[in-house]
Amino acid sequence: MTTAPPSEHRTNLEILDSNAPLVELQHASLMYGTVLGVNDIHLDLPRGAYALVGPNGAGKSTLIGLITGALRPTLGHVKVFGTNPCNSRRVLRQIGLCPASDLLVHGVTPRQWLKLQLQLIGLSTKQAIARVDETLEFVGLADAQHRAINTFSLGMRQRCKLAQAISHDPELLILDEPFNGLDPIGRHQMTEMLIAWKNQGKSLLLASHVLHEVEQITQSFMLIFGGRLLASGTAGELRRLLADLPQDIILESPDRDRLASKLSGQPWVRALHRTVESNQLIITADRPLELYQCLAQWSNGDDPITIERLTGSDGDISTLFRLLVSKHRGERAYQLSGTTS
Amino acid sequence: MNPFPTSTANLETPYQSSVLAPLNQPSTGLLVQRCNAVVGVVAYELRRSITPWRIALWGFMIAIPVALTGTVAYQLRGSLSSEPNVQMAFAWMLYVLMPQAITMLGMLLWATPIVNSELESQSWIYSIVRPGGRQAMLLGKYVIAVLWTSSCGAVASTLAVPMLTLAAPFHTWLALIALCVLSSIAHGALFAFIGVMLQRRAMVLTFSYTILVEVFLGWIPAVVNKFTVAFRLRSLYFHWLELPMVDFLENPEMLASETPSWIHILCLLLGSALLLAIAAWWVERAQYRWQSEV
Repeated sequence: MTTAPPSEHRTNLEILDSNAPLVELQHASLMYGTVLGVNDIHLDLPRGAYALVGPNGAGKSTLIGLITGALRPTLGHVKVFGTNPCNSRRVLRQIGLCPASDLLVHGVTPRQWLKLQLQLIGLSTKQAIARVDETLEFVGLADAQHRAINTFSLGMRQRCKLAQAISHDPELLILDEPFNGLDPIGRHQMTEMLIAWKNQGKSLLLASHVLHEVEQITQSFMLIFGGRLLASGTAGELRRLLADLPQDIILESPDRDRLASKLSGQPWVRALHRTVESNQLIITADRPLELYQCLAQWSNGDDPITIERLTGSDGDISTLFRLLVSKHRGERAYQLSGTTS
Repeated sequence: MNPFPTSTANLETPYQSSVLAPLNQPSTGLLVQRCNAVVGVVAYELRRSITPWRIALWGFMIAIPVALTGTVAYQLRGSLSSEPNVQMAFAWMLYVLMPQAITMLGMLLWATPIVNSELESQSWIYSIVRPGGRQAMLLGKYVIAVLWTSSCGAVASTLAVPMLTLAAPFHTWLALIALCVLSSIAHGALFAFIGVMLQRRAMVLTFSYTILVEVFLGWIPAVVNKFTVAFRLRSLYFHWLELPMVDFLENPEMLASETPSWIHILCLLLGSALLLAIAAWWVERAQYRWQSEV
């Protein structure tokens, strides 16, 4: 499917500074009036695939706005491929953005809309039409190319948005909540496409509030909350970070009192709470990994302790963010919401 | 220290076949690319604007002045219509209805919300992530607004002029069409400028500006009215139809200038170009609230 470019043409790769990092943010902050959108983010990303994870309203879209030059930082600097996107719009040619907002254009077919998007980057009508055909085929909308976009399902509109983001062959693809509204098949297809994109050697920035959705695509995560970049690293590193943070773990066991007795002697146990009505024991542990190891030993020993249910905070993104915020603020004591004592 | 592993291209994956072919960069210059973008917006917006609602609105805006003209023509039918004062009244009625009322209303509806309509439909984000996309959108939509509005004025003039018993109907028709086009260009640039500057209440401000400055101030015989579009259009109308200057004013120059027509046309075109240039500069730097998330 790939073809060698004619000699008089240049590919995207040739006009980019190959040594320039993908994204550089130097203490970038952005204020919406008195509201802080992004707070002192310092970031230096080489080319690659990254997931920007955070709950709704965390500042993901604002950060994307800064990277795409749609928003200008109130303080600090932003560079993409070594260029400030606010001052030199030419760099936008290397960026494809699939925004989170729904596509609400009326009375327009994907063919017409995509042609416009390609002409906006400077392609002639003839070039744009040729590229529209390829792109619609690629995203699987060739059969629906003459239907109005407003008659499409959410998944089809999502594919339409994706088509405009990749049609001009950018070096960096930015997707804001790309899995929103997709059915399981659509999610799988989107995941495969993004993996293929990454494997081409192109860069990817994926914003999502669901950790496990993006885990299949990349292992490089940035966690954002309240406009701050709380943590960054691989999924393993994040898990280790989580494991090092004090956590509340809820256990349900008929041997609750015996378990409490054993745990009370452990130095990493900060607090134990028993609920009145059920067999629950809430353990606040400084080092959850050691707790899990002990539980494994005790439940397999000579006098085994029965554990019916164990609820930890791993995998729960809200808990993870609360823990990271606590750490970020330097708080030692914390309390997870929804627990009883 | 970078905590992330750097990416490596793995060309052996089974997904290689599902990759979109690379796109060759166009070898044309930046100016040609920007023109392509504007042409793209014009073609897209023209197609998109041909809707039953838009056509009905267009027809309605033609029907009102034509109906008014028809009513006046019916009331003043007979020998009365050939009197000089009545001829003068006919000429001014056509001027007020066509290059003034219709074009101003049309531009208020189509030029003012150039950016706002994109923001409301959440499609502005797609323009701003393309180099030159913002300016192409502004200029392309401006061209469409001028086309719709001037065509509205031209059709209304074509239908209204034959209804009246005018001394020089063809001459009047030609002058009205030229003025409708000039009025669309000038008012369009002015209203687009206001629409680009303000994300909220642009329509209200434009309407207030039109009433206060172009309608009220523009008809006051004072130096300030020389800065209005209405003054330039009115002066051109005087010239082209060779209308007599009003004799009840001490200084009729304040109402319509005897300066050569080309100067008025140049003022209108240069003023429009300047306003559009400022609007294009502004839109390139503006940070409109393009989605609700903070």
